[in-house]
Amino acid sequence: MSKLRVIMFETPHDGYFNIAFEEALARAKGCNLIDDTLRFFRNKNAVIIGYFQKAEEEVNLDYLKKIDAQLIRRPTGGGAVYHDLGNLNYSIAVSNNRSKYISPVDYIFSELIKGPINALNSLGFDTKLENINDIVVNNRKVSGTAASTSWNALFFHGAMLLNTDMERLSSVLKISQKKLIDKGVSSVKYRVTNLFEINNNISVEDIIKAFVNSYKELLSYDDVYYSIPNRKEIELANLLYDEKYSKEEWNFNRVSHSKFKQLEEQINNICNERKFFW
Amino acid sequence: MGYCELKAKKGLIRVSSEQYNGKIKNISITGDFMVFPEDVIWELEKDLLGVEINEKFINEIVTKHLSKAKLLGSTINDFVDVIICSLKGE
Repeated sequence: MSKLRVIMFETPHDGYFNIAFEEALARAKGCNLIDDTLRFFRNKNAVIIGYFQKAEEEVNLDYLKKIDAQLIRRPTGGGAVYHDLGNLNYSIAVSNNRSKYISPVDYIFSELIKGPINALNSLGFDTKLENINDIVVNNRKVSGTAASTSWNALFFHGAMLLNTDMERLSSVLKISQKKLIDKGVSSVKYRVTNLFEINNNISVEDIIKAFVNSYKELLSYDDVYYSIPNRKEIELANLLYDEKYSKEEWNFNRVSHSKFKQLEEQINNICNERKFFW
Repeated sequence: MGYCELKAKKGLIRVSSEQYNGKIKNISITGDFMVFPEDVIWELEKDLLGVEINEKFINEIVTKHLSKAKLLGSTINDFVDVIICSLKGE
């Protein structure tokens, strides 16, 4: 019997831990420590940059300091995003076995990405996928998504604009002129929108329920259960937080995962402990 | 110091480079593109160090690394073009 586990685990004041937990979730799934899991979380005030990005190229660092926001590198590619409590983040980690017949990346961006699209459509939004991984409602982007297949699991996540402070978002993110010209707009705020601006009669709870139902149906789970992180996941997240996500070296200097060799060994130890445990 | 950026179908690829005596001294490939597995970008950067600035050599090295990766919304040629553009100081 296949089950989807749902967790609403967040540390909004500590975005570093929130993002460390994202990698922990993918790792835990890859080590077979958890069922397929859908997670929701928020950050209070943070800029999350993509794995390949340089902070100074993407972020107005003076403004970041002025608003006292955290700057955190995530483990996946893609672009920088601004997170406040008006932004709902979702992530899903599922078994590699799901992509038996197509490449893992194609599976993620053809199947897993339908989760948020179907969820928003079920709430009455006219939702489309554009430009490979952008989720668009009424021709305005409401969610960017990214993924990794690095840790023996399929990991997909995204940030959804509900009622984010758009002035802060457009002030803290530097958007390349080439990108703006490509999109035919003069500022990022004319390209993105908050879902609650389109419909303010829905709630965060409605959206979460719609996501859960959407993934249950999409991936044909027999059941859904709500849970909290287990001991191993927290152990992995603590380790990733201490050794990687709380470090300036990771967040500002653009170093690869493979630079953290000792961390990798410690993670393998946690994964392998399970064999003895059982 | 050379710098060039290219807007691929999906994502912006930025390359900063330095050269010395006709060879690549430093290179960093940054941006909001998506490549899987991700760390192939660091392997590519490492392999480009010390390479003679010659389009054919650079094309071969970039192709060697990125042909084993999955590029989402960009092509191997996009990376070759932006690296060469950066090395030309354009």
